[in-house]
Amino acid sequence: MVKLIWLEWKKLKRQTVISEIIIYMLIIMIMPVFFINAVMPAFGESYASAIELNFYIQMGFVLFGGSLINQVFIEEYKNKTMALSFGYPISRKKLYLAKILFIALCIFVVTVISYIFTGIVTYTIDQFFPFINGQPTSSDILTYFGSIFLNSLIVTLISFVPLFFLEFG
Amino acid sequence: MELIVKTSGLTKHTRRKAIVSNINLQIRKGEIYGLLGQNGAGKTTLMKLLTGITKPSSGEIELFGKRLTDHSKSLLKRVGSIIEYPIFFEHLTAMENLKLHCEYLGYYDEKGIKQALDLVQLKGIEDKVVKEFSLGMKQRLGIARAVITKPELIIFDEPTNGLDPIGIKDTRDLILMLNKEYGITFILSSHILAEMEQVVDRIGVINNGRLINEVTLEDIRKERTEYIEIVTTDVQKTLYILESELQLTNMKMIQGNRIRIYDLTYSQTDISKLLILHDIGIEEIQKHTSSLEDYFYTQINGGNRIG
Repeated sequence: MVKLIWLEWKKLKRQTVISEIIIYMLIIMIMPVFFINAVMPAFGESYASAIELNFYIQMGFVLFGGSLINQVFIEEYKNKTMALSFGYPISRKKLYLAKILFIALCIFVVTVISYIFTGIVTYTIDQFFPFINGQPTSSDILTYFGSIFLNSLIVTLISFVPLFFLEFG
Repeated sequence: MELIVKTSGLTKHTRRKAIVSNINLQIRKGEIYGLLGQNGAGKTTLMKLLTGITKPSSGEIELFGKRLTDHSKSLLKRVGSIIEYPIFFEHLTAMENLKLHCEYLGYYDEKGIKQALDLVQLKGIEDKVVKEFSLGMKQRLGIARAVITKPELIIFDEPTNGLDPIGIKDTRDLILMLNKEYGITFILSSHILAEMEQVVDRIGVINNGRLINEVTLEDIRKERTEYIEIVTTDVQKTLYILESELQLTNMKMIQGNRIRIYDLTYSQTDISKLLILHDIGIEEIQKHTSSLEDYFYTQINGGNRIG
């Protein structure tokens, strides 16, 4: 299965996907600063509110999930390369599972990394140009890092919603 | 004789109609089997069923003596194929595509990839993306991909599609070479009947999803009829002279001005001399042989050839 997941990565238009990830990360990284300053200053009342805001912002990776589903599933059906895979000595269940796990792994890892980067960037900017009241408490930091995995998992699961609407031939 | 492919009651239907209906096929080891049929007859669907791309609605497929199911797909390791047209990951290079194929099949032999590319005479294109390839090049690359793992059975749907005449001849020679030297069994389909005639051992005629006849090429050759066709300035007089002077009776007049002589006792030269002696102008005289095309046409249309 690990090999099948790796092969999904090899088949991908990697340059496109990597550029997409960089763009998403850059935008999401500065979103808390932008949102608190320009849209809703209420989230800057404390680090606890800013952490809550960040969770909603990271939901942006659901869009990245949609784009991956398009490349890994829809494009393969459109270009008929899916038929090529069906001719290999691998059961369809395994082929689909490899695709689903690959997408899940990508979204999860990218969201986790983005979570960490956004946290660091937001904290650093706040140190130079304060826009969040006070400093993060140890409980804030624990909550933040403690919720990274659960929240990334939620983003990953939500990303799969469009897959239920696909009909496979 | 060992059977490589055996199907029993193989059927594939959509909600509205049967695409392939009750096909019982038996293909022997080392054979080159040709599938003949019009567009939409069901050839490609049959090939898709044999390669596991499509699942049958009913019936069974046996490959190498074992039933092909979703649990026995490992049998497909021994099969190479090009169905419809060669499909590739267009954004990847030729080499990346071939390596990907090998990885899916669990085959790791860099030499094998090079050998396959040499076989189809594709050199120096390894690092080019497939998107830039012409149809002919893709077809060659598709053939290379199909033979790379040295399978025991190769299924080619229209293998010469998009190839230039040299490519067609190379493909034909390659198929014959792989068959003779490596004993690879082939299932081919083609619309170019003359091409097929030069390669296959046996032919299955498919019409409306049904296998209506199976014949060896040997049988077709035996059944083959030869005739001389003449167009003259005076048809009635020609018929009279041929009958009275040469005692020819096995003749037929077609299209009102053409005479077909099936009795080949006399040569074209004898007939021409005789007609000239009787002052009959010859507009056309030619010896014909009914080909695979005629056989195919008769099978599909029940012999209602406009003639």
